[in-house]
Amino acid sequence: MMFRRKDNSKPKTKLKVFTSNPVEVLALQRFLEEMSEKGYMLTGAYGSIYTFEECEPMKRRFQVDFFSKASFFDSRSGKNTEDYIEYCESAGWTHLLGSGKMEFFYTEDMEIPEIETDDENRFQSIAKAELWSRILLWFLAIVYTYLGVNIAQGMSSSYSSWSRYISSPTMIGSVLFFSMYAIGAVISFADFMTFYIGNKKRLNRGELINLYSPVQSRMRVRYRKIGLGVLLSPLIFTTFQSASQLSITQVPLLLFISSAIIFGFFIKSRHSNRKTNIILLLVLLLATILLTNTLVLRGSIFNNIVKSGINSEDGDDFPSESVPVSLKEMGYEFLGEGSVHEETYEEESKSFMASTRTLSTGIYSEDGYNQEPERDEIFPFYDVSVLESEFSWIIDKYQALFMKREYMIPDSQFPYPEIIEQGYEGYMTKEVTKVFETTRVLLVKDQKAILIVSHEPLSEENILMLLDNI
Amino acid sequence: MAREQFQTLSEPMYYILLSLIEEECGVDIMNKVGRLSNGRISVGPGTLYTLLDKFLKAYMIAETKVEGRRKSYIITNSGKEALMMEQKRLKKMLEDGVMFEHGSDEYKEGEAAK
Repeated sequence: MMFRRKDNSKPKTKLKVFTSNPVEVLALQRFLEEMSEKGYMLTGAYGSIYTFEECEPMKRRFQVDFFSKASFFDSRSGKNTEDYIEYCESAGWTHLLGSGKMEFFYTEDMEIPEIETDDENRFQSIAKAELWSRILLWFLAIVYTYLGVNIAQGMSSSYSSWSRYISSPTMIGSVLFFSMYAIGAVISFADFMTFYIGNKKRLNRGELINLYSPVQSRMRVRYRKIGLGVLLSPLIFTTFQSASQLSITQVPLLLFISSAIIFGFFIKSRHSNRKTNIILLLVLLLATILLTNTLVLRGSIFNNIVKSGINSEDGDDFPSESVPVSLKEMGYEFLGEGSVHEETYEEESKSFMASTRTLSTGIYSEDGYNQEPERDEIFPFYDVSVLESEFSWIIDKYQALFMKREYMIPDSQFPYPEIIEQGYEGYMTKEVTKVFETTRVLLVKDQKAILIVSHEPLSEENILMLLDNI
Repeated sequence: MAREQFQTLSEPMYYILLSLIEEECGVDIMNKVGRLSNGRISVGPGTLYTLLDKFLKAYMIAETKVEGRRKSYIITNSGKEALMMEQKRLKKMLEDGVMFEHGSDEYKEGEAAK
């Protein structure tokens, strides 16, 4: 290329990351000028990543122009920019490359006029480019707010989703992410409007527009990076914590992985005051890790436990210790044909707001798997979920949702006096469908809500045995 | 609609239109503007490109020929009209300014009466 050395050896190349928005174009120009003085000429621009090739170190002027006819999605100068480039070249500017709406020029002549000498044009093209660069962010804010509202609605619709969401770090992480994202988008919009209205007023008064200086831009970029770190940390750590629960709420994370990579690049990319930045970033990362760990995870990273096991009469077992009281211990028998066995399952998830523990066990026959059972052939099972929280409003809300949803057995008082005596508030409901009949017992005491779902109502003795063991 | 933004012309607009009284190739306008204004006004290539585009859309200039990528333009009647109006406005401003500088008869009479 034009900057190749005379001895034909391969010129040294360099890759740098420099984040700037269109409103911070002066900082970008300054950055390119500094690189040129150090002996590196711009050869490529890919988002925030710039590539350079060794050149003769000298003072050059750089101009980054936002060409309104170029598209945000262009990766190089297109046909429609040819005329415009010719105008610039005939005025003494050398065209380097185009990327998106940006066209890069340089000159060694310190006298020739700038490419854009009309402030109104300059303002319009920069404002337009800035608007384009933020539109995706604002659009995502609408999508995320929609998702956030959906989660909130899901949480208040039934007690089972309430207990699941409130004790799932992933869900809480997502809600935190969505809310912070929405706040960030509002700040971003206000920031844009400040720039837009402020300069529009200046133009109307006949004054020159006010672009952010390189120093101001550097501050702005720093604030943005801190904001991004704060935004991502709950999501990243809650996702690591419960990788088994990947869901739609992790999509934002995938979208932001690229930003996170750039965030990582930032350490290497700073050319000024590098050490301070490294230390600052490490401190920031450490602080967010500690904070997230304390708040969201309560100090433990992998706490989403899932255990399961099989016990059968003929001995070929995957024994499980997870269910404290098995149906067999409760006096149920392994009746039925074929391979009759008991399957147990336990799941635990914990967030800084609440924890849920679900235990289930059931007796199954392999023959019964493939056909719909008759009502009296239902094998015994029970599910117990224990919701615990230090915040009493979480338990209250859970109870309220349960009462709203379930139909109480008419005229029935809670039939187990001994459980009431232990200080539990008790409720019992029954649901009957064509093939299925389930009984739900809700026991509330202090900061604990225990829900027992079973085919036949468990006897008081069995429930007491369960309560002693969970 | 397009006329409205050209009710008053900025200095670069004024000189670009002025330089197109005779047919001129787009890239040469920059130099001509410099000559016409004795080097007082300089129009950057980006600004020139945008303004030519706006003038074309407002039918204030017309494309005369295209040689490769070199396009030539000339002012239209509507462009001349805008130029005349701007000139009138500037002349009026100048006259008013002269009155202030030397004092017109009216102005002197007014002062004497006091």
